[in-house]
Amino acid sequence: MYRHKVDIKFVGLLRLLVMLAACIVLLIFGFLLTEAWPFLFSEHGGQLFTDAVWHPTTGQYNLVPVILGTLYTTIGAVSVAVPFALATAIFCQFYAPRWFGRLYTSVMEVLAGIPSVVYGFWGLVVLVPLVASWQGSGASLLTGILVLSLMILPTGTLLAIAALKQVPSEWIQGSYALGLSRWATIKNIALPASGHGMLNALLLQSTRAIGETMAVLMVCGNSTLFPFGLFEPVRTLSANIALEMAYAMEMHRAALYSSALVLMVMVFILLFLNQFQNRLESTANGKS
Amino acid sequence: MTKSVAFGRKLQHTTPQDISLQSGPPAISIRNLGLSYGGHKVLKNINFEARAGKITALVGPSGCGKSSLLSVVNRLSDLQACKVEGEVFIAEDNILHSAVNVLKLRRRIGMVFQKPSPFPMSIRENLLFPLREYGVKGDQLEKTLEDNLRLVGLWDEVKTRLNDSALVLSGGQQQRLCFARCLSLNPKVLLLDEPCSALDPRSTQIIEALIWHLRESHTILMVTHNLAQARRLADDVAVCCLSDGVGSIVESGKTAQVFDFPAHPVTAEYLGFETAEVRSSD
Ligand SMILES: Nc1ncnc2c1ncn2[C@@H]1O[C@H](COP(=O)(O)OP(=O)(O)OP(=O)(O)O)[C@@H](O)[C@H]1O
Ligand SMILES: [Mg+2]
Repeated sequence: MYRHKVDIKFVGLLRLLVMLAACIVLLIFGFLLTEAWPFLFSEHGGQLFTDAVWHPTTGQYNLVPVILGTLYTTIGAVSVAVPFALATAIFCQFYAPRWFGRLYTSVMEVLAGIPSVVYGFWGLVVLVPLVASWQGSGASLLTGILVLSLMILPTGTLLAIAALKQVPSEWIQGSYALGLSRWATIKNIALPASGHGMLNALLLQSTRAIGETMAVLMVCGNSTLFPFGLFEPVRTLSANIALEMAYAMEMHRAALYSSALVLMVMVFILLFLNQFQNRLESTANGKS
Repeated sequence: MTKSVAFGRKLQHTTPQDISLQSGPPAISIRNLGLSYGGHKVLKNINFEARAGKITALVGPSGCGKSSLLSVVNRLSDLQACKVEGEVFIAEDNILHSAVNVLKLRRRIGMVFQKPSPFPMSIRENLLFPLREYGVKGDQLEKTLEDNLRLVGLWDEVKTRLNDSALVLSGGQQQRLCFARCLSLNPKVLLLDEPCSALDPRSTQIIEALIWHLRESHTILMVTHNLAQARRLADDVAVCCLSDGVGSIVESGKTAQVFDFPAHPVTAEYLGFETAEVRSSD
């Protein structure tokens, strides 16, 4: 293929920028690794999983309850948010009048822009007492799940709507022209054709939920004990780092960096899954 | 030969769900129809009739609103941001009335789009899933699949790869697949938007023969740019032309009448070119 000189320069510039971005990620990873090194790759390393509790002042570093706290809040929030996001996206795209869809989208855009600390504050002031009046202290896994799901809902809905919008209108029209109902069209055409985009949305919002710190920290209670129920307080990895980094020294500090590494690995796994399913999708398209 | 066998079979296998077929095709009568997309007027004063069980060809220059007109007849125009005024009667019902059950309406009307639109699934599923939604079950599914693919002359080309994606088919194959899909649902009215635009002469022949055979049992409204084809197939012709950027029907009537003795100078001009061409090639 013939390439213009300007093209070559432009591509060169793009390459440089991409490498720079990649370098930053690598640098962060390297930094975490060096900081975590004294803990992770010493006789302490195993403590992350074998100690009785996470109690840094007495030299105990069991990270499992915190990892579980992260997983529970994330999975919980995603499972609450997904049905709502999917249902509202389908409603806006296929059932609601055009103006409603547009209005709803702008509302979601505004909600998506609200800083997480505001969600946290709202959770603290409104949701925690509400849950407390039901059971427990209020600052609990349940509250965390609710606040977190509310936080990922706007962007999740927007991404789901975008995925549905990407379905070519010929397919939708073709289906209606055959005398198929809206639901038949959604079920057989719109959802399968947008499944890839939906999954993308789900994984992206999961990464967001895993990394969310402030709001979760404000409503979850932050106990480092094993979480056994919805009404018990939990602590997440990110909250753990935010809470203890200010005063952590030596081994404790390195242990926190190790937990940051664990968090990063979890995010990487999700991103990798995302890449993997993108790859799958494109090979499937290439074949079909 | 094989064609007529296939048609014979098609007519034989009328099952209970085909009974609607036997009540005969309805006439379509369009009165004072106007259409505009967001304030931009595309059609006005459309008046003509597509007789029951006949082929009506809709011809006219590109962009005069033929596809838009077809989309009003099965209320696909509802999906666009467009405003429709006037009346469209199918049999006795004004289908533009807001109380009309659009789903039922569309089940009586089959449409083949100008741009082929197979769904992103296998060739088999393209036909089977609408049938299943219509409540067809069991062996009937596979049989209907084969019958209709044979009707459009596609069976031999795809029988070994029914499970491949329909999107890898060529343009012409996709067009015939969509035709087969539309026929499999037994509509009584057919809206064909340039059904042969992507076809080679051989496939065109098959489809033309098919349209001809469907004539008695279906009311067919067909858009075509191929005036020779309109002349060959159509009982009636409606000529759509642009004036001041708005499309309207300038003339309609029996094919021979319109082609040989066009009453309107615009029609004469539009048809003149092709008529001369057909004459010289005869
Ligand atoms: N969805 C739409 N929104 C806005 N304008 C439209 C839309 N569809 C069609 N139009 C406009 O309406 C006019 C008629 O379009 P239409 O597709 O009906 O023409 P046509 O007669 O079928 O042309 P062709 O022979 O090229 O298929 C065109 O000017 C087109 O730009
Ligand atoms: Mg057209």
